[in-house]
Amino acid sequence: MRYLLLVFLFITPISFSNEFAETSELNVKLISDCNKLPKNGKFSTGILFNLQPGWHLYWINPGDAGLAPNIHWDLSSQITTGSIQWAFPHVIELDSISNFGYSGQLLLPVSMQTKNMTENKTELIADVNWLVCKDICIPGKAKLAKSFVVTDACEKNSNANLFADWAKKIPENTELMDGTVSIVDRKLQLELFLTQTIFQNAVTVDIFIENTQVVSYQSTQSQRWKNNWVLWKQDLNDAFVNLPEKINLVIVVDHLKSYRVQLSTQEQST
Amino acid sequence: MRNLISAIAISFMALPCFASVNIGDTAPDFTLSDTYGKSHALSDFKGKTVILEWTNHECPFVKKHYGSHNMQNLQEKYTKQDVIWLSIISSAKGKQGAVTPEKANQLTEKRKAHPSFVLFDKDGTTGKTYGAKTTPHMYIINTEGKLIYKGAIDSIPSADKEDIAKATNYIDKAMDEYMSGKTVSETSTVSYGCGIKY
Repeated sequence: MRYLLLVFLFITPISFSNEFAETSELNVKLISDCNKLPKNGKFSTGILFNLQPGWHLYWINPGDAGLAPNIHWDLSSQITTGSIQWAFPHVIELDSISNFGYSGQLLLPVSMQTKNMTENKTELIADVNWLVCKDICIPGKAKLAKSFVVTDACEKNSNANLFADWAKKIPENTELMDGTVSIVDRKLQLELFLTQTIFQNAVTVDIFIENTQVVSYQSTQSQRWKNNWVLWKQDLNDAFVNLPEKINLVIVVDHLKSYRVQLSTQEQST
Repeated sequence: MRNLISAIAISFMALPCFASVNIGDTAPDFTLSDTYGKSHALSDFKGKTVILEWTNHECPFVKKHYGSHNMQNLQEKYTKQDVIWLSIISSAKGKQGAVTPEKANQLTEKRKAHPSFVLFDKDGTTGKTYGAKTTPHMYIINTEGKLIYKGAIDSIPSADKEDIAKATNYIDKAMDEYMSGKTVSETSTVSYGCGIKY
């Protein structure tokens, strides 16, 4: 019966009405913070997932298994788009496997900009692919589309609050004063001195590495921190070969505030 | 005082332990039962090249490679060249991918697969010894019993069959290099797929 259900899930067509699609595991919607788009100006667009309990989606680095969602935009040539701004993830442990992702709700915000829009109307189209998992994994995809009237200025809507809430989960870029990366006894060691004292009064610090093939997600990690300094160690990934030129880190302080740091590994002692 | 505590705080995140096998190391021996109840040890195949494929027929990434016949083509190509191909199921009882021997044989027949044997690793010991985390997860062991490749089947992590033709097939690449006497150039890659249901 369970297998029959699985087959059914795989062949169930996604029902969608332009900007909205729904499966047994989640629904997904294309949203913007403007009711009407500006002829010249910035606005936010995003893909909003609402997941059924127990199901999860993946971060840009999914961890030991899984796959991050991706979006291919089909837009007017007068609209430019940025990349997905990934919220910081949480650790998902299942069957001894350690993954990074999201439960409940996920917004994938993307900054867009119009320039000298001549049309009175335009359509934002997104081809979205995802892998949603619980004890099983199910791939999904949807073509989402939403039409907008183009006016002089963005007419904000209630989604603006949602984008503002998710902006708090997007890691803030922060600069390094100094940073070293070293490999000792098959462990990656990072020592960072940041320009901001983000660790002052911090009770918990979690570090996620965007690059795959660097550290082992199963292994024990250790870190020490104070004020603007952190020392972090974790075993190397089983598939580790060489350090990438740049390591992108997401540092989460007290499960609340997150920072993104880029560390160059060139001219570092390994 | 709180700052002092923060300064000396050490955070540990300990998870269930996986071992791993390094490239160039002797591949750990194991003994597992096949779908006909016969036991096979890795050491039985001494002197032959062995390919290990962790599998779960319900995983979308496995379906991608079987639905396209990519996996079967690899199996047929190399078993015809006297390579031993072992498909290993590490799904625990009651979890996705756990099948009876009869069902495993039906799957082999239905999918026109060509493994040398389909083996059961019900307690997950062999999978964890090798550090297998996903389905598929691939390993190549040379005729001297040394590990020469571990990781993904190919270079594009997706569940889309259309990506197969665009991807670099790591098994073909490693086997072509090894069988022509060259050093395998890409020995470790990050596997992609569903987590193994230990």
